[in-house]
Amino acid sequence: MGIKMNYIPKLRLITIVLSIFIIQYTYAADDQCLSCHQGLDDKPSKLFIEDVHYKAGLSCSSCHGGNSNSDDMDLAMSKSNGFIGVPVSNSISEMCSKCHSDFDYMKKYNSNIHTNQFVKLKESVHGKLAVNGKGMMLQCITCHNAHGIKKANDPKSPVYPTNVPQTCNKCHGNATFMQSYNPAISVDQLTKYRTSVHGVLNSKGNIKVAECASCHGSHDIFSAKDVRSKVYKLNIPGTCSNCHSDKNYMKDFDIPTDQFAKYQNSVHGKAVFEKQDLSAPVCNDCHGNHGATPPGIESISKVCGSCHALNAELFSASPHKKAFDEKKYPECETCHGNHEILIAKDQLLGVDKGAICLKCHSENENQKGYLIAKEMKKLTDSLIVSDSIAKNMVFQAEQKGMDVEELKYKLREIHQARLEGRTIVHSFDEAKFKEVTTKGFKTSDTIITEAKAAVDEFYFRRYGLGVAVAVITFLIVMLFLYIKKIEKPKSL
Amino acid sequence: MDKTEINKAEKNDRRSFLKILLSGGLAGFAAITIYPILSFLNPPKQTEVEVNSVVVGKVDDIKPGDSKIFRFGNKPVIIIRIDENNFRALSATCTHLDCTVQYKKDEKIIWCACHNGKYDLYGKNVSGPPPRPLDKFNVAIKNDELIVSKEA
Repeated sequence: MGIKMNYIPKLRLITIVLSIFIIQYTYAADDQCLSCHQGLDDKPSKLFIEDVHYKAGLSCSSCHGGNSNSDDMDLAMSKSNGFIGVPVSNSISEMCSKCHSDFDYMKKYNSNIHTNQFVKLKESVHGKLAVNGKGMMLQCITCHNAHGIKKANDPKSPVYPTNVPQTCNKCHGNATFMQSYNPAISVDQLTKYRTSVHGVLNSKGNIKVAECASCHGSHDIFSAKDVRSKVYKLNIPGTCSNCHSDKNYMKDFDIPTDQFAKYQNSVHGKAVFEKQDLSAPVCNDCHGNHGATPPGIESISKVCGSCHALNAELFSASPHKKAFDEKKYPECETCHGNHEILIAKDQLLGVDKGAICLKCHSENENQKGYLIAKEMKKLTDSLIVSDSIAKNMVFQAEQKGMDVEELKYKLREIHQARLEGRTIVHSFDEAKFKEVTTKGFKTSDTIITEAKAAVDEFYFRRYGLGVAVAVITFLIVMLFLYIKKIEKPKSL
Repeated sequence: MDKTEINKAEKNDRRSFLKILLSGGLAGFAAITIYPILSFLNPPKQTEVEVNSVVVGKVDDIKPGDSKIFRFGNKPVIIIRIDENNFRALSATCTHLDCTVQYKKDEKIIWCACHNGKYDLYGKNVSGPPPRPLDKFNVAIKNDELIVSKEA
């Protein structure tokens, strides 16, 4: 026992020495590259200790190759140990994808993490060949940084929502750089974005509002002209509605969430979704895109007027303009609505039930407008009736085999007068309206007269034919009887 | 049977043969007369006349910088004399809501009065609601006459 007791201090000493050695060796074995580069006080090593990969236990050699356990520089950075130095061009992203495209491997770190980023990037507009002809335009590190990579939900990450605009702007705000890829693309998106509702809130630290990636995608970004793009014209309503129709997501913002549902039902929505009409407006045509903001009361007619130019022009010159401005009524919207703009039916006009004019005009209040609306509606209805009679008459004449090509051609003029009437109504000027409808009435009168004449001509020919056939038949019968009479033997 | 009886029988045979011929002829006459009459009384539904080309008029009828709208089947077509030697023919039906467009000489555009749709002189929709360009027509000059035809 005594002997044993004598050994204890020695054992303690050995244990302590060994522990120090093991700790030192372990530290060295952790990452010799890092310890050496930290000694050099270089930027990569400073950044790397903050890197999500370092924290997950990866070493420099995971990306650069070599042996990070060796403190012998030549040995650690020898090709025989797989040292590749600084990866260039596509080998950078390929290096990242070795792990990030491996589902089983990534599952160890985060079961929710996607593993298709590299595939998406290669397909995207940024995956195209760079101007130098060496690899893709953009590598993973362009947006995520090389050393000091943070999780996307880390406020220090360049791809954290409030940092994304600035990250994209590194290239997209550089006119010289962008010119080498697409001289037509504007480089003021960030400036515009900062003026938008999204941009203002984003700069205040709100991470729910849309930033570049919310609309354009992150790894799978395509040109706006590419049908796969989230911002391809026909895809825009869906892209905006991802957030704007989500009641739960939008609960922090005091705005409705039914815009998309209403828009789908509108004349514009139907043109987009049912007819795939690329000229019809989608969200950004009225709200702007990078500078997205709701149009102000006074600018609505300018926004709508960018397509419905004549209507806007006529409205601006009409007495309604002043009245609307005074009452702060939004111009087109007051009568037509905003997201759910329905096809403007003739019933909107006039003083009958459902007419918009009744909102402000009645027999007792603002009577002048009431009377004008009543008269305009009367003219519209009469023109519709005339149009229908003319069409019917032409149809009848056509069915009777008469040549009505010229009349059918003239029918276009009534159609045109009706359409022009629907436009000129925005002048709210009875005289101008009458001028247009009179053209239609005159044409319909001409068509009805000529079509009637064609129908009469048909009956004239028909009865004429009947008479001729009767006369010819009578003659034949007479001839037949006469021949029979001649043939009878005289003796009988 | 004496000789006269035999002659009579022969005569009867010939007469009935002639009668058959005559009634057959009458029946044929009736058929070829009545059928067209019935057809005329009940005309079939007409299909639109297919027009492939139209003679618009003499070259000098349209002065440089002027235009003319003419009927091409049931649809209007506009021909514009761009300069001394160049004519361009385009459908005059607005692609928005089928109004008839017109040439605005001062603005050098084709304009639709209904909703202010504008097209350039190649028929491309450049402003307003028209969703697509105007259809193009070929213009040929033969013996000093302008002939407009559908594009192949």
